[in-house]
Amino acid sequence: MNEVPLLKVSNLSVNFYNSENIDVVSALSDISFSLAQKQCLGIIGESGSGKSVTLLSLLGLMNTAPGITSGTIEFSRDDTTINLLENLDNYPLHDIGSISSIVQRQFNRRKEQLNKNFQAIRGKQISIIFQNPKLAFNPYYSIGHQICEMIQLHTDINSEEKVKAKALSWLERVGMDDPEARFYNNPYGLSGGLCQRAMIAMALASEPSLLIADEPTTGLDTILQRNILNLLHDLQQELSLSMIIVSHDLKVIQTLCKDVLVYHSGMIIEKGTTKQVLASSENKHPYTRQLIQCELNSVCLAGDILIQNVDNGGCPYYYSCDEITSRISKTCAQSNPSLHNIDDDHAIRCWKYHDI
Amino acid sequence: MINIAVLKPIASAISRELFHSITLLLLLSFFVFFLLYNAPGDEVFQRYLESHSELNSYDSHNLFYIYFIWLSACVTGNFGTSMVNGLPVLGQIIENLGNSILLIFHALLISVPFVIINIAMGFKNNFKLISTTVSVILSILAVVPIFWLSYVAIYITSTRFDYLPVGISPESLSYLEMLLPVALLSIGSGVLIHITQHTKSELFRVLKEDYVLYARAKGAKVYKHVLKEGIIFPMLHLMSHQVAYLFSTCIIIEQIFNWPGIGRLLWQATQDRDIPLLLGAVLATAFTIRLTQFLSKLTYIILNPRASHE
Repeated sequence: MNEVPLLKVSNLSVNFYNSENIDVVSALSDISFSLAQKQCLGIIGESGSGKSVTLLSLLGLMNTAPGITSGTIEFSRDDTTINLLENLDNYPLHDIGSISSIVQRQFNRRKEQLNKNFQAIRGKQISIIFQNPKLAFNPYYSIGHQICEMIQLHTDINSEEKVKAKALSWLERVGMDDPEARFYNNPYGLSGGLCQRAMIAMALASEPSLLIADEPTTGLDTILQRNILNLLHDLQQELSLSMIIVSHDLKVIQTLCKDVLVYHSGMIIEKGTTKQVLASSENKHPYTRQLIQCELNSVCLAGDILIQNVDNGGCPYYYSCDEITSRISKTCAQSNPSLHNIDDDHAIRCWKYHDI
Repeated sequence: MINIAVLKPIASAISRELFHSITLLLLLSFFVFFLLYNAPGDEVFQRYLESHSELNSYDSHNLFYIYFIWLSACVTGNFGTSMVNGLPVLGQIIENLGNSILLIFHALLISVPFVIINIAMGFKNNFKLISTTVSVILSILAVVPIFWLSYVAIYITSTRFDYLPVGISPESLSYLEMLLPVALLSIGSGVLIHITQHTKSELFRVLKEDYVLYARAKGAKVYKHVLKEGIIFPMLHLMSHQVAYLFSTCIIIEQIFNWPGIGRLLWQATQDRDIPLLLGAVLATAFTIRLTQFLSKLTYIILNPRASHE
């Protein structure tokens, strides 16, 4: 692949303060992946593993201190590559005892800088679909008004009739039953499925190059899920979009994505093509294997997967892992493995595949 | 982007509000009249009937019968004549009510830019300290008794430095003269700090909403999206509900500044036992308060598409 990737994230780390504000916990550590033009990437993992945090970081929307502490997010458009995290002062992670006013001020400065960096990207280049479309629409304006706002903000169309016509054409394209009437509808007057369609229409109305979908089908019934997935698939083909889809539903990922990342406790533990990671039976991270098992049987076989081994530096999955052999058990408990390439584009973070 | 279909629920919501307001005023008027009817001392009610041009020819003592005649007289604007100076009540009320509304309106009006500037400063790091200091000072001034605060203010601005006039009259009025009573009414009664703090907390709640996050994700200006729920609605609500409170605080301010408003009229009528004037002033005040609440509700219904479905 000699082509410049659309999006390249390297070594991204995000931290939060814990509930007493005296310590930092790591929400994401050392996330690296890249996304080519027209590629569709899936992210799976349990709740709290950092999927949504990754998406919000891609748009610079992390609102809690300290937020993004290191890494680069490179975004390419029109043959120029910009680093969205440039000019950020280093966050003084070392002198955290409590959030002093100085640290708070520094955080506010970073936030301003982030907003400045990301302003050209948000909406125009990267659009996002949220999990709950009813909450993501402003309840005080009609659907049409909000789609028109998106068009006015990010495209060259400026006459009011043209903007409205464009919005209507988008509503029609996502399969709204009666675009003219829905244009004036308020979000609360739409059903969940229609609202999700309107959301997709709004996200695409700015003609972005990357669409991020945060659990686009959660909360919809199975038929609607299928409809929405088909819609996303068709639109992706038609508009040659790049997409990042987060879901805990493996079927969604299998239908839409060619490549997939598996998250666990803020780290990528496995990445590769969907076929390698989800379909084939050999060469898997134990956690991925368990995810697939849970999906099939809807009963988890191995212990409580919520126990995470974060404190003493071992593999986070140590306590729940059922594939620890005597060869690696000591290493597993003591240190965290790195991503190990076992194939061309298939990497796993597990000591099983390392030579020790 | 107005659609005819959205006007129907709005119209029905407005008519519902109107119905509530009229019912409330009718109940109040009956209550007031009933109190008068049962007033201790045999002559009070009798004297009132005799002073009223429409009622003095009826000698029936049926409460409801007299009430309806009295009410229809009130609706046509006949509140009787004052027992003290013999002038029609309506003229006095309109003049005095206008003066009071002038004060209250300005007291509420200055809170709008104040709240917006205060909130805006709170978001800028460099001005945070100023905004906090102002809030603290206002909180302290709000708990000081208003008559004491007024005399201190008059002493400082008028007696000591001879900058503002002590007494003011509506005939020769300038904004400079109105500054002190209006500021005292708004700060001393605590209305200003109340509106500021509640709007602020409401705004911070709204800023955490999902749709605000989405507005930022789509690159839109956040203030456009939070303006309605975060600033306009809470301020509208608070201001319309503070009007009743301001009317009662007005009595003190009007007494101190010798301002011929409705509060002073009420006070005077109570002192003189001028029943027609008292009755008229109470009804006029209630009507004004309800009217402002109705208007604020009307604005809310028009701005909020959900309100007409609530």
